[in-house]
Parts: sequence; C-alpha cells; structure tokens
Amino acid sequence: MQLQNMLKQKIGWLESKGKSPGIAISSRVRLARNLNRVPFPQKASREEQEGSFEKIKSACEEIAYFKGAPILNLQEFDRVDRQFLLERHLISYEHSRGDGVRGLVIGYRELLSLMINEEDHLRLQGIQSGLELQQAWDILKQIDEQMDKKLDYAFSPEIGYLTACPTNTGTGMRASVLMHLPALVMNEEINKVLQALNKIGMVARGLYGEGTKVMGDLFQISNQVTLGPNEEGIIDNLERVVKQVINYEIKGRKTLFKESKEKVMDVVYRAYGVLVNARQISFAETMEFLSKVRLGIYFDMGLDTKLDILNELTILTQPAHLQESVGKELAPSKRDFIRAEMIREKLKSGK
Amino acid sequence: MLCDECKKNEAMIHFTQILNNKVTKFHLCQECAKEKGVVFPSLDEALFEGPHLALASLLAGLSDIGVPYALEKPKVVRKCPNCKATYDDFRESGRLGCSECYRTFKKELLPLLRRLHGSVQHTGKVPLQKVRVGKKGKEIMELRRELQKVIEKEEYEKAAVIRDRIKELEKKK
Repeated sequence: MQLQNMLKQKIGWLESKGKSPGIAISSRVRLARNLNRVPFPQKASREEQEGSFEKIKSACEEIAYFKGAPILNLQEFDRVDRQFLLERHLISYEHSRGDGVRGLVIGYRELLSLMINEEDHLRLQGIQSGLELQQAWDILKQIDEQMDKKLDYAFSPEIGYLTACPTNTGTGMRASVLMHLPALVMNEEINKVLQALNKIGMVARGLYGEGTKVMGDLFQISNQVTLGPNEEGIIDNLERVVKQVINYEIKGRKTLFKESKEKVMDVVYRAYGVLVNARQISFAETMEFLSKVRLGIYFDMGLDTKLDILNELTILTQPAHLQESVGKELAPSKRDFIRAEMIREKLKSGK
Repeated sequence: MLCDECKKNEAMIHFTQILNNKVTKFHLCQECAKEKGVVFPSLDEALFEGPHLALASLLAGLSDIGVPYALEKPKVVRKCPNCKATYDDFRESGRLGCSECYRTFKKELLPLLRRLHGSVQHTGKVPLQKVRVGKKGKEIMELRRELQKVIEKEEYEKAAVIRDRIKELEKKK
C-alpha cells in the first residue's frame, strides 16, 4: 500500500461546480489511441508491452500538461492500491485487474489521466464537475494534440483512429456523464429512460463503468457510436440527451414532492439519521442513504450538510479508500465500523 | 445411402475431409444441406475464387451441423502480416491484434463497423502530422467534414457535389 498520500489531495471534479451539479455529478471524456503497427496490449509480448510503455512514458515526460505528473507502473502496486485507483475513477476495472506491463499517468488534480496499455495503448481521460462535457473535451483535445506530436498514432483516413475493439474505432471517443437519478428510480420510470437511451445510441452503465453495478441511483450515460459523427457532434448529442434526462428527473422530483411529501421527507430524514448515527455500515448501504440525503439537499430540507461533502463521502467510504486511510488491509466488518466513524465525523465537521 | 441429418432422404452430397490425418465423412440430402446453409458455389464462382475459397465457404456452412460433424477449421487462414492475428482470434477475443489488422480484415470489418456505428466514414479529428495521410487524404478528410456539415443543414444538392468529388479523389488513389 503506497498511495496514502493521494488521500490528502483534493480531487478536482468532486466540488459541486459546473452546470446542474445536483443531478449531473461529473462529465468525462476519454479518447482511445494506439501506436501505429505496434501490437495492441492484449496481443503484445511482454517486450512489446514494455516498448509501448516506455514510448508513451517518455512522450508524457515531454509535454507540458503532464509536467511533474506521477507515472505509475501498475505492476509495482498491490491489489488495494489498484482498487483505490479504480475507486477514484482513474483506471478501469479491467486495468485494475489485468496483468502485463501497464501504467497510469495522473494529471493535475486528477482532472486528467492516461491509462497506458489498457485495451488500447493510450486511454486519455478528462473529467470535470457538473455537466461540463465541452470543457472536459477542450482540455483533452489539447493533450491529444501534444501527444500526437510525440507519437505515431494508428489512423486511417477512412475510418479514423484504429482501436483494439471496433466499438471504439473512429473518434475513439467515449463521453459520459455521471448522473444521480433517484426520482426516476422511485417512480420506476428509469427503465423506460434507459431503453429509450439505447434506441438513440446511448448507453447507461454502473458507477465504475462498463459491466459494473448501479449503486446509490448513480448512472453513467454515454455515447455508443464513435464512428461517423465528429467529436463535437458526439458531445453536443450527449449533452442534449443528458439535459433531457435532467428535465425528466426534475419533473419526477417535483411530482414526488407534491404527491408524497411526507413519505419523501421520512425517507430523507431516516437516511440522514442512519448516516449520522450508525456504528457499522456497508458501502452499498452508504451509497443508498447518501442518495436520499442528496435528494434532501435538493429539496432544501435543512439538512446540516452540503453536496461537496456528500461527493467526497462517496469516494472516501469506498473499501480501498478506507484501507488506505488506515494503512492496512481490513476485513469487511472492520471496514464497516471505520466507515461509519468517518461518515459521522465528516457530517459533523461539514457544517 | 440415407442422409446423416434427417435419416430419411437419399444422401446426394458426399464430402470427405482429411485434416491432420483425421478423416471425417458427411452424407447429406439436398434439403438438409440447404437448410444447414451449405451454399454450393456455382462453377464460375468456384473458378473465380479458386478452389480453396469455394471449399472454405462449404466448410463454413457445414460447421453449424451438430456434434458428429464437428469440423476442424479450414486450413486456409489469413493472418495479419504485422501481428499474425487471424480473424478467428478476433472473433474469440473481440479484440484486434494491431492497427494493420484493419487493413488485413477490411472486408470483414467494414460491415461490422457499419452495423455498430451506422457509418464507415470518419469525420472527426485527424492526427496533425500524418505524412501517410498525404495531401489527397487530407483533402478527402476536409471534404468529408464539409459533407457532414451540409448534410446537417439539409443542403443535399451541395452534398451530392461534394460526395462525387470525394469519390473521384478516392478513385485516383
């Protein structure tokens, strides 16, 4: 366990800034890029993986955006550390579990990062608070251009950037917005919304991306199509769809409050009561109650906390974060105890 | 001899495969063969594609038949000259081997890309210093972007002109 120091750093995208921060928590854009003619990580031999790693690493060392940025060789980190990076949304599940020579570059305030030798040689990621896809893209575009000068990207004039999986070919761009949709879950409209998203080439995923569970009413909505429309088109389209979903959610919240105010208040205050009093609490439970408290803040129920603290708690109460904070591996029951303690403290000090 | 599949009709198609010293025989009636999607290339096709391909398509059709006919894959396999991956590797893992695979398996990948994305025309960002894209490539890229714009504005007449210009340039390659 070597990443405790990162706990002291504030994650840039956790502040509740940007447009619609109550519903759109963060906006993320990632680009998949590969080195021309070099076998993709999964196909590459160890030597080839090392070769790509070194090439990309030295490119990073030369560009202004990654100046002084830590470049981690993931093989040197244990399971808890890698889980910790996954929990901070810096690496994918696949990258945290995979083997082979692979890395992570962490940019300023974690608003920018680069996975080396994930499914593709490079996965650049930009992330911002709130609904700020354009802002995330503007920064990412510049880094991509700087990296482009140092590396020979695999590209075809017809079908664009060439990626290990054809689902990313073209722009190599996946834009996504992490959304909090408790009202649509409560009024059971969510499935309709998710189905409609699928029909228009969008997809909703769980908290940690592809193939992961939905927790705390948090959904990541992203584009599926990467070839055809250009980058701006993908972002505009997603932003338009996300705004629609935000409107559905707001409508749902209003109806909920109008039709079952007492019930909603009860749910919110109970959730808050558990969080400030519990002595043992699991992560799933934490997420469920944080979701309700978030709703309470939206309805201005006079709770003694704010969005920034709730955002921080969703990150800090994750299993690997707790273990890093005490500097050792903990059994789940012990974690539940420490988690409850941390939540009580954060909610108390956050007045 | 009765058909191995339906065990009713007379088998009309007899096929013997010897692969790694293993002999496998099939006897099928025409109906069952048709149902299993066994397509018999016409003589012209067979001549044009060469005997290997005709055989491969026959084998591909037969490989769907049940256990007794479980076939080993045909020996004629195209490999990416750069990374040695085959299309079957891609089918199994869902991942291509390298950027050259896109060239090697273009015929298979284009329909797949079209199904996935509804398009096979990149209109987005282009690497800054790509010598191999060339002047013509850049012009095509710019025209494609222009095309996208006029389509969005529903200016179809302009779009047709641009499209023809792209086709012309592509032909010259």
